[in-house]
Amino acid sequence: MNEVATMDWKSLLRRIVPRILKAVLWCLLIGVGFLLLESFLALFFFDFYPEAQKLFGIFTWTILVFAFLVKVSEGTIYKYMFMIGRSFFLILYFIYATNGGVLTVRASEFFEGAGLYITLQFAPIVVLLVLGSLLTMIKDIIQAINFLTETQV
Amino acid sequence: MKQVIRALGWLSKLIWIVTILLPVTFGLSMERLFQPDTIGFGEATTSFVNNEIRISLPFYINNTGYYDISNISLTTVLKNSDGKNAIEGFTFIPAIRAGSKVNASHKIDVDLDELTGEMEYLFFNDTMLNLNVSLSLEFAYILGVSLHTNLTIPWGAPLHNLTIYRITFDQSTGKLIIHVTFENHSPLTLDGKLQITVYNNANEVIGNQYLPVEAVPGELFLSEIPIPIDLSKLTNNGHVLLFFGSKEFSAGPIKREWSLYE
Repeated sequence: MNEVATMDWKSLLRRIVPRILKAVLWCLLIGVGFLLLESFLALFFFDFYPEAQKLFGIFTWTILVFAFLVKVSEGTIYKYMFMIGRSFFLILYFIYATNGGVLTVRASEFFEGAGLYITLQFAPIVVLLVLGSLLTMIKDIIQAINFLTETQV
Repeated sequence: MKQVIRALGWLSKLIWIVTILLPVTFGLSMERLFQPDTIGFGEATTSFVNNEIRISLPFYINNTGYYDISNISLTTVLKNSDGKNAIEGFTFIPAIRAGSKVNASHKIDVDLDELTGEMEYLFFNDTMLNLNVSLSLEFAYILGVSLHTNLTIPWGAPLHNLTIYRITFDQSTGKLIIHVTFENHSPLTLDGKLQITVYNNANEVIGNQYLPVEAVPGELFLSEIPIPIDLSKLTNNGHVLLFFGSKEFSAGPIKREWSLYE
């Protein structure tokens, strides 16, 4: 009995460990990409809009966690659930982080002494971001249904 | 089902590409707009229309970016310390096509009726004014950008501290001598006339005199004005009213009591 249980554990580990390693590697790649993007944005954007640094951190970590979960759950229905969850998070994130497409920043860093405020209105771009995430989410749902149909047949 | 998934995949990819490309090209376009020769200013001119001073500041915008710039509006509002609008200016340009140049001018109107009425103290007192400048425009009819700034600027009164500091009566000539002073703190040369009207204690006019005044910016004006008096109506005391009038504006009266016995 014990031998069977040990065998099960071993085979489970044999299946899971490569997946976890693959997911970690994948996340490292994405992480490096985000790190490069962050250092690029730090050159000009974070000085201009300091709150963006915190928002970028939240975005990076959430995407990394989802990327890990999606990779680990490859070949199961959970993969699609995590993908749907990720798209849903992105929709909420884009609306929240962009304040619905209207951002006001104080640009006193560049014009000392003057209380200069810059307001950007980019609601059409936010609509595109949300639409892109929504379509991805619909695609994920259909993929999940397709996966269930194929595995049940 | 696979075709639907594929179609949705392509569609979402397309949307993502467009969404990423738009801000990137906006950024590149704006970078081109930050080149030196994009915006330039000419020499400001001043004109008088319907009791308003119109200050016109010509400028040009050379749209060197990839996108049209539309709905450009520039508003300048100068407010006094009570928050009341003293001077307003507005400019609107409907659109500047990509690669084209537009010449325009920012017009600032100064309503002299309002200035001489409700804000007459601005002629006599230095103060601080709030200048609100707002600029708004649209890139590619999609991205709206608004800039707003609030500056405090000093106001120099053209007739700062206009005072009748001494009144004497010269019995030998029968003239009332009025000593007037003020300092021109404005950046404009003051060119006009001072009118002094003398009243007796029965509120009757007993003398009237005009004095041409010219004061360059920063000049301290000091003058003695002899006024012939109607001696038949002369009383022991009374008051004088002082007005200032020029082509651009008029201010006053400044009232001061006088007495033959100091």
